[in-house]
Amino acid sequence: MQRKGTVQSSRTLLLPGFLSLSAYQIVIWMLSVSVACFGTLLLRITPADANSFGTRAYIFTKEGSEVDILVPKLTPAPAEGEFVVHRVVEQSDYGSAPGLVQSGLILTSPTWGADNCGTVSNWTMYTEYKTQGSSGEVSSYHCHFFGSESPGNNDVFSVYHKTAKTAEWNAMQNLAVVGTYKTNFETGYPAVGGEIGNNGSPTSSSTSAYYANAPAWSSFNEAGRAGQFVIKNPENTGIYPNNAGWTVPNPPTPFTITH
Amino acid sequence: MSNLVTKLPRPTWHLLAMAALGLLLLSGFILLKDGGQGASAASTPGHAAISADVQAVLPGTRGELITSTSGYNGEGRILAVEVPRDLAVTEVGNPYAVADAAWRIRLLAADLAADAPDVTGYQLSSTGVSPAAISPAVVGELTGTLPPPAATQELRKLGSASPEATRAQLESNIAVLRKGASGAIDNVTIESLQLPDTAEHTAFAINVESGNVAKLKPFLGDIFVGLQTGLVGSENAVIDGLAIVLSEGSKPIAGSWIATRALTGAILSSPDFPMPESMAITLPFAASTNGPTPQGTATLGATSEEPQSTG
Repeated sequence: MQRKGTVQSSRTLLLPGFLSLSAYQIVIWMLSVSVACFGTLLLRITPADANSFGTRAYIFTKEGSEVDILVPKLTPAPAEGEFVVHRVVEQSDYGSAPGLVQSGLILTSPTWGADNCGTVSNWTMYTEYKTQGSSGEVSSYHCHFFGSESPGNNDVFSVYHKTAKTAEWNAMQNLAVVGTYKTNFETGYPAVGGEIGNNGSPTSSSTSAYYANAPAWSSFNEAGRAGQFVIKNPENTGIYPNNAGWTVPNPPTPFTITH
Repeated sequence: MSNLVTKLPRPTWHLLAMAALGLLLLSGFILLKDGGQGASAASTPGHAAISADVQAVLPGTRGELITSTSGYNGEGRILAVEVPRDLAVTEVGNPYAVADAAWRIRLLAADLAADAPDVTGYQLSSTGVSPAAISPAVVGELTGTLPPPAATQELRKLGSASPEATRAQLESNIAVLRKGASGAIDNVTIESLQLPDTAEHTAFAINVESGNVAKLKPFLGDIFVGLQTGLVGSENAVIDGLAIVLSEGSKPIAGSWIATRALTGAILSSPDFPMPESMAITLPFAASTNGPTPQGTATLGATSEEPQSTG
């Protein structure tokens, strides 16, 4: 009881001391408290907002080639035994054991999985990379799922060479880097497109893909499929060493840019 | 007491006021530093227990939870594990051992994150577990970010089967494989990983040994997909992970690693034993756990079309 009484007494007597502060000192104090409170609030919400972007950007100027994809609409559920993906991909070569890194959306039937990530009943953002095979080396596939996505959302996926003269590639989802992968290759063919796999038959590309030598403004829309927008980086000269320049052919008419 | 307070000179009041402000700022800093997840942090074991957990899943290593200020999930803690160099660099040593070590730490980190969402990633390093060794926690083979908690909401059956039931399912799957492979399998070993938390947080590591793996090529779908039956391979997974290694004698030839809560999978194969793009089950596996019933898997493959020059 004695301690309680002491505390109450201190509170009562504290007020006159504060009230005796000058207006200037009170203002300074209030400002300090405000800064502390708002500073704390701002810092605490920063991580949660880090991946929030109201406007999409499609052009990146990173080392190496890059390909981006915009997926405005998503396909219906795949048939039994199928899986469907919309993706951007960078592929090392067209040999027997190419390396690749890709980022996109996947949906599977209940029984036929993709890689070793298994099946998913909702459209799911994913990345996958495969090391480029060479004599004496173990090849590896790695897949990662990042959670389901709502049909109709405008998602942007990208893959790009992280830095020059390394075999590391970044995979992005909605402008956030979600993976940095060692792939054993430094240059490759960027492409966008869809893919359908079916019950043990070889997987096949269901839509056209656009490659490093395609027109820079390449885009297409197919009903129910992905809309694509491809930008090539002029520094990507590894596959076509003589193609040092970056030329943009005349665009089709009419030419429409949409966001 | 009251007399003492009232007799304090005015500058002392200013000092008290500043001290109060300082305390306010300090408490705000502590709240910020903690990320408002004090309750979650308190629900994870201490350093000694974490280290014991790490050694239990990956003997010969040590690890602890370290605050990470960067990464896909923002501020959080990552499970930093110090491992021998041959397990920390993919270019040297045994890639199968690296994949296996990464899988085990991924399992443990995801298991910890199930109770403490501020655990956001993991890292294997041979240079210690000091904060200086922590790089941005993007996803890779040795450094990875766990998926956000919302991404694992579909895993509703995880942990729903008892350890006895999952073990029985696995042994049933192996029996089907051995019978179907007509003597091509010499031995199968099972390692059961009991993850912390509850008895239902389990994973299995299987080694399928054969004196002539070429005879098993028609059964790759049964080995790498069929053995998942009733256990993992979809959102209906009932256990935390499954690793399968196919060995010729003691030499690994191919392997797969699934970490359910981390939503990751990996496939490795030796150059003289390439994995097919698609693998389908041929044998009559049956699920007894209300778990997954996968029929096959395919790689999200590369295109074989040559690019056309626009010259």
